[in-house]
Amino acid sequence: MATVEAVAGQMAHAHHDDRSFLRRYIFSTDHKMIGIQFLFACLFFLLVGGLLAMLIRWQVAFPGKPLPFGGIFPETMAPNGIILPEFYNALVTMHGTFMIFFAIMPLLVGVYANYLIPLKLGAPDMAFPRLNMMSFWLFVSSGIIMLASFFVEGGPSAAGWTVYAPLSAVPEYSGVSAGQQLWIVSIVFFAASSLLGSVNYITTVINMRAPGMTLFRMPLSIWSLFITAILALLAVPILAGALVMLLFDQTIGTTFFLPEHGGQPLLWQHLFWFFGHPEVYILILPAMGMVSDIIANGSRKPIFGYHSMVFAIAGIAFLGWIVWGHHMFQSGMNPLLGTSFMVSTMAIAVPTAIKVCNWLATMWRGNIQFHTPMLNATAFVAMFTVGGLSGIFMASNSLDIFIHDTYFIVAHIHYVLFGGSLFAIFAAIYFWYPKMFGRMMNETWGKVHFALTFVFYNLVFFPMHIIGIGGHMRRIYDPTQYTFMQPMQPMNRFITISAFLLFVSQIPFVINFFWSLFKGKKAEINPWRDNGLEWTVPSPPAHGNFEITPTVYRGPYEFSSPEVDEDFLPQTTPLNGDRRTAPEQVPGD
Amino acid sequence: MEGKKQPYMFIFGALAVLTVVEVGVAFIGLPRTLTIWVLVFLAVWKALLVALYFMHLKFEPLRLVLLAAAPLPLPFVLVLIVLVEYAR
Repeated sequence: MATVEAVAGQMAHAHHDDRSFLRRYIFSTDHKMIGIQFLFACLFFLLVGGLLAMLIRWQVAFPGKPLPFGGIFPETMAPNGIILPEFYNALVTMHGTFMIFFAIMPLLVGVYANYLIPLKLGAPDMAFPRLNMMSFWLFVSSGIIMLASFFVEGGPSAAGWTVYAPLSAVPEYSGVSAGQQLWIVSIVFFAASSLLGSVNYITTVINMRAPGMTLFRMPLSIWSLFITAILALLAVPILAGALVMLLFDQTIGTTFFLPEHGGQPLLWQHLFWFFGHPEVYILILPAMGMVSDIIANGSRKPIFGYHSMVFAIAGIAFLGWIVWGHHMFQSGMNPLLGTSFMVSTMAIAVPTAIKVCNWLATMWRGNIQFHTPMLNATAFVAMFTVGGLSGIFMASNSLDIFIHDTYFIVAHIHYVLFGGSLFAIFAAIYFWYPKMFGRMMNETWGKVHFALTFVFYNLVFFPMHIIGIGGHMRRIYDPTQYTFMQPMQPMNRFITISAFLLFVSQIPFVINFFWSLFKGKKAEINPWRDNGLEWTVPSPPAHGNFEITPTVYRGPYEFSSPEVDEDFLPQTTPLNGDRRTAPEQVPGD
Repeated sequence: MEGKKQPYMFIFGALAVLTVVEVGVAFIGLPRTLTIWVLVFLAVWKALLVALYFMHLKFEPLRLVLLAAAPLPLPFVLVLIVLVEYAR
């Protein structure tokens, strides 16, 4: 267990940074550099996922038409630029895989748990810095393995990101063998990376908080990352175990999921979604936490209902374990079970609604500063609410019979993961960029990027509700083959053109990001006038973070306090009446 | 545990023996249901040995043991629901 003395001991060495280039930038054990490494890697994978989405949209809107620049694809994927059905299945699979496992999840957890947890808790680094480095390089390895699957015979996995068995278990069914095995191996590497990270985050939060940083003085971003780490620690091993079983079915002749030999395909669905639904909350809880921090800052008001926010995060995390069957309503499930899953799913709306109401109440009559992070955080609240409301439709098992496997589901997941998680990620990037890189991103271009993204995002995903209700199947190669779907083609083309414009709308962000690295305005220590501990150290912070171990006197949301002249009151600023002597750190208090 | 000889190799040996027994049980032709129960029984012992010794729970305070045991209801729920599905 790391004690206050041990932390202080590390502090003494904190600012003698004589590490080599390799140790500082490549095989770094510094949590900040690892967070930044994750950021660059994940943005690359986000680009890959986005490009795959463009190919999918081209095919759906213009089936049978050759892709512009389609000549770069081999004959086995897109002869003369025309996407083959089997390649389309692979595109859909890999888009979901890259976005969920290699973009959204590590952007939220790999980047911000790494970067923020020690800084916001007053610790010099993670509890296990070498494990942290190993976690990043396992992640890179898994990404390379996944990318490599594009180049093997048969192409990458084409069984959907949920790799349902027996489609994924028998190579003849999907036409993919090596690609599917690489998919499995890659995700097992990813699981190992995620587990190492989770152990690190949990241990750091429990053992390495600065004096005075009680659990209920932690920012909501840290609460959500902490609970997310617990979810990942318990959920990811289930996926890893199920994947090894699937790999055995593929390679050594076991029949766990093969019905013709007594196996159970539904067992795969149960195992996958027992991981998969907590995974959904892994993909949204950190976003909720970071948005809470940014909304309080942008509203210049304390967060409304701090304790209820913490209990809502815990409530969502707990309920997330008993709802997985709502992904399987159409599997022929026992109706009694279906009803119980429907009720537990609807119950999740309660803590979720608490959070949404608290964000609105925080903004209510606040002195709102619409800086770029705040704009993105506000969009998160609005778009996540739309996604949450469409989720209630799907929770109803009778209604789900109709909308299951339609574009309504595609609209829902993108309202939650793009409108929710990705807007939160943009908010977080703009907000913590000055701390990470010591320079500000350009506000004007940030707002241009936000406005374009917000408009085109809605033009892409909102119409999907409409064609979904019309019965448009998701993952369909050629919608025009069904007469009833032909009238939806103009809408499909509209969505696709909007998607291309959404993709182009990210150019201002990319230019702003890289231009600001070198030419951005130098960042002050505390450019957003925030209260968190990370804003008390230089931008960027030195190796070891704090010159002396900070002492915390209050929670992180003391904005517009009548006790001080400025409209913020940092956690480390003592006031008359605050006990100056740091209380002993009590782990787990 | 300091100064005491660590029983890790002994535990490793016990796990290896239990694995051999498991493989044997699978091939000696017991009735299917009995085979499953025997295998579950042996697997529980293996899991306990790993948790108690390799994960050090035997040498940790009770609250940490309880913390590690806290998620056990989750696999119980999973197995119960899968069995309900299969029993129909």
